[in-house]
Amino acid sequence: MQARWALGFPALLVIAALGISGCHVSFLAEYDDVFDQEATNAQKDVDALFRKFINNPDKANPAASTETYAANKDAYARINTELDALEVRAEAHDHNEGTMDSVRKIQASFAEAEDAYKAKSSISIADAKIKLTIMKQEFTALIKEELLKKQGNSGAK
Amino acid sequence: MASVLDQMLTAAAKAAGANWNSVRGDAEIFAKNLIRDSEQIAKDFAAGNIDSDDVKTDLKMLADYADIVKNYLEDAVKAAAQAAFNAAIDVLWGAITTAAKI
Repeated sequence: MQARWALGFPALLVIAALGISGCHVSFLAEYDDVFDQEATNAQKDVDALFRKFINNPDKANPAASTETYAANKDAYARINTELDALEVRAEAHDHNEGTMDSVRKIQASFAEAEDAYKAKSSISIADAKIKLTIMKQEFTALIKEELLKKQGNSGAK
Repeated sequence: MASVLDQMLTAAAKAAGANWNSVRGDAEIFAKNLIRDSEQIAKDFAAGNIDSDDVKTDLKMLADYADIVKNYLEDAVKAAAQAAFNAAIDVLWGAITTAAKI
């Protein structure tokens, strides 16, 4: 018994000193299912907005949409609010710098798209398709980044 | 496209180091997306489907996407390291508790 303690006790002290006894190290925030769901909801609203531009071609000029920025201001406002909420949610966790930066990049992309369409009298359907593709890819990467946290915590007790 | 993709993946492999295998599949998908989107923008501009202002905005958005990919890959490396480190701690903890009978 004494011999076992002679072996184990110093190691226990080392672990306790490191603050890892029975616990795990964290390089990443915990997975947040609310964040995951809110990101999915924001993505759906972005998708719906761009599909309105894509699915309503002008009969006289089928390369352009009949939809305008002005007619969709409410959708832009709602999506900006959703993205702000995502940013706040990401900021509420420690070790979450990557996700926070990713949300800010999505906000920047959406703002760039909004400013561009605000300035246009006619929106190109081809361009709306490109913007939708990029926004979808951005959300996919963001959600995958969140799901990684499950992998990082696999085996965590 | 193959040449650019290879160069991108080589740079990503260098950055990911020992954890490259855990992120390689995603890195390839993201790199292909970036190349395909760039080609689509160039094609639509050449065909007159989008104007130079559209191109500028789309390229800014692509740069944002590239930054998100970078964040993802950095976090993927961290997640792999965290899982490996914690698995090692579990083994160590198990050995110690067995030895100490606690």
